[in-house]
Amino acid sequence: MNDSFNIHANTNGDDNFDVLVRRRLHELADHAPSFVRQVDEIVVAPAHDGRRSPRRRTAGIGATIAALVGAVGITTVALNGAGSGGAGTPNEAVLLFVEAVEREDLLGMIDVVDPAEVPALRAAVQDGSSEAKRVQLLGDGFDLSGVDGVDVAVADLTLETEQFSNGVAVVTASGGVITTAFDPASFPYGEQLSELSGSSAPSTSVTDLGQGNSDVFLATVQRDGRWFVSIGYTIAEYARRAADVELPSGDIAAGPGFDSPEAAVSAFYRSLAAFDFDAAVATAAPGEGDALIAYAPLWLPAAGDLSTSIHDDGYQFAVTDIGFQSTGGDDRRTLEATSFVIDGSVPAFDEAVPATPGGQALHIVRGDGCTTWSGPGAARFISPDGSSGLGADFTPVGDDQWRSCDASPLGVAAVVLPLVGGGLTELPAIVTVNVDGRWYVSPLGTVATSIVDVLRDIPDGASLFDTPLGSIVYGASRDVLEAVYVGQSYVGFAPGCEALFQIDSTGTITAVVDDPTVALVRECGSTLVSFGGSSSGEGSAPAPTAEVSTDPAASTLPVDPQVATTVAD
Amino acid sequence: MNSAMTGALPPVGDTAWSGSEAAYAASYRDLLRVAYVLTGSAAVAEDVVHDVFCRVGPRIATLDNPAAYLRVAVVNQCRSLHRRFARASRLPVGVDTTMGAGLDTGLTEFSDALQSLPTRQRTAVVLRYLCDLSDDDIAGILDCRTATVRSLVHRGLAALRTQIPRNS
Repeated sequence: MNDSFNIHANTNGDDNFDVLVRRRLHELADHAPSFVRQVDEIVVAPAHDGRRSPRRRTAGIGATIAALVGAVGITTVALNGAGSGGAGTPNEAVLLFVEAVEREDLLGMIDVVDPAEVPALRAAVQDGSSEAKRVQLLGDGFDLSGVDGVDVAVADLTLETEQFSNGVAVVTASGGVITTAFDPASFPYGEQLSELSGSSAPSTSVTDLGQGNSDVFLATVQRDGRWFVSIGYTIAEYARRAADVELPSGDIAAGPGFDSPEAAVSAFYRSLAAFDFDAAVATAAPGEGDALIAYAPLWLPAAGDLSTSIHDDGYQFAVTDIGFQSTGGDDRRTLEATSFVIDGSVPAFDEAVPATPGGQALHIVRGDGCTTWSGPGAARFISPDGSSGLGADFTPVGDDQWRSCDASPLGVAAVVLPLVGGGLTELPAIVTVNVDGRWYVSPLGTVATSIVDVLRDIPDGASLFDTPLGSIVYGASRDVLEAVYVGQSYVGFAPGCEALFQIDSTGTITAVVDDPTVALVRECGSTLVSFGGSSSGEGSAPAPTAEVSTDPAASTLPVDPQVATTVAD
Repeated sequence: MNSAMTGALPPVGDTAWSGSEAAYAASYRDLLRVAYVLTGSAAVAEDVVHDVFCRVGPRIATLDNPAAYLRVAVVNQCRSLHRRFARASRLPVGVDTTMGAGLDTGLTEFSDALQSLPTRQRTAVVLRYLCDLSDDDIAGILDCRTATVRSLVHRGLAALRTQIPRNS
């Protein structure tokens, strides 16, 4: 490529191209119409009534949550006066919540959600909705204040309340019937999923709460004498019951906070790198992080044991020299680590366990959008050609030194620094919140932001099939299908599946076609189970490569065609 | 509560619009330049600006920074229009003869290249180099992170670079 047109050249002013763009834009704008129409020449069309037209009832558990958090996004002003919301009892709070869902009364729903949790969700919901529309997962008609195509009704609800000593109460539905209806023709799918609209008949499911084996409940929390539904406590309580452990006791003691968002996030990163989970929990914001703090005694001892074990094995890490980029407002800020240094050591590959203390040195440096791993310990995770086990592509740049300018494929999982290798190229963004003049980590906000980041990383116009979301939406992403089938003979697929692949004259699959339909991928993904069954002879596919088992999406594909043969026969 | 807040705009000329006309006149030209570059159509640009004006209504006079507010509204309206056009496969690129009128070859090629960019990339480039907004301000308008803005601008420039003849 001609140097003058090298797209990797600096675009921030070191060459003349941005000067050219600036000049051309102004020249172009100079050709805008010069005639200024007077105000009274403008026809003001009759404005529509501000009230929304009647919508179908919102619902489904997922839709309810979406509507809930959506309402969080649009009604924060109402929530600022938290003391006026809530209910007199936990039962009443849940009843108000359910009744609001049935009425599609979003203000009513919000009025009974813990106000400490609302700000954490608000930005993520707004961003998530916006990003889902941008990537055309959802259509512009998707409205967080009312989801078309979903309808829920709750009848004969019977509630039982279990009140704990720390101002938390769990309200369990011991009886009642939830009827959920879904009409795909009315659901506002985005362009990427438009083929799903009307692809199946409307469906209705009925759940008898009195007949299930597992409890259906919402946790509530008391704030200033009023009761609110708490998302954090609800999640924590579900986790506690799943683990079948006793309820923790004792008061909630939040940490002292930090002078700045940067100090809070630095402490969070450092504590995780040092396996100091107590210290990590102590960075959580009071109020929003109450559930995390209150339930921490359930898992901190085990985490401490794990920490000790990891140290004994020879893993040591420390994060220093963290540089941040900060965005947000006065009370909530999102911090991205633009630079950092991780020094540590890992046990050698071939040493007996436990490894020699000190192990092999590992040095990770992030800066200028790229990350460099170096030291003998780096070879523990990255092969000489730069491939790593967790998805990041590295380029060898020296002896025991590799560099990657890719985004981390691990997302929030990369928080647990010691437990990931090779894939860590950046640290996840952390949301911070100011509480009474001190800065803390926002746990709900951070998790929610990390989820939205999955959408945010999808380029404009990209097919979801070509992104990690392909595994969810299509049942398999392009990467997975190509890793498994490119180079294999096209044998044993169901009729019509040839449309999914590019096949050369020898019958070998050379690529997956651009923009396949969801139906085609899903249909052929499911028929792939019989792939080995009819191809036991010449041309049959070999066993899948190792990459298959490393990708969660591989669960939609046959793990072993030979095993599938047995099943199919 | 004025009538605009209840959804029914008063007729232009009503006293409720007092002060709004001046704000409109002061911002009109700049808004039209932005809309014209973003949409590639003089007619669409005019419609966008007028539509925004009508939507904001008499509240224009009460805004702290009407120029900035209206610019955000225009940018959002352009993005919304582009999405609708894209869905209907009738993107206004190349269909508006007014865009090419009076443009020299180089500017026409630049305009075509600009209109071929994805909406967010084009918007980020225009806000950066035409409106001279900071990355933070652009991030606020595009509802994304500052880092995303840099990425959008970088990718937008890279795409333009591949399309614009060297002698431009």
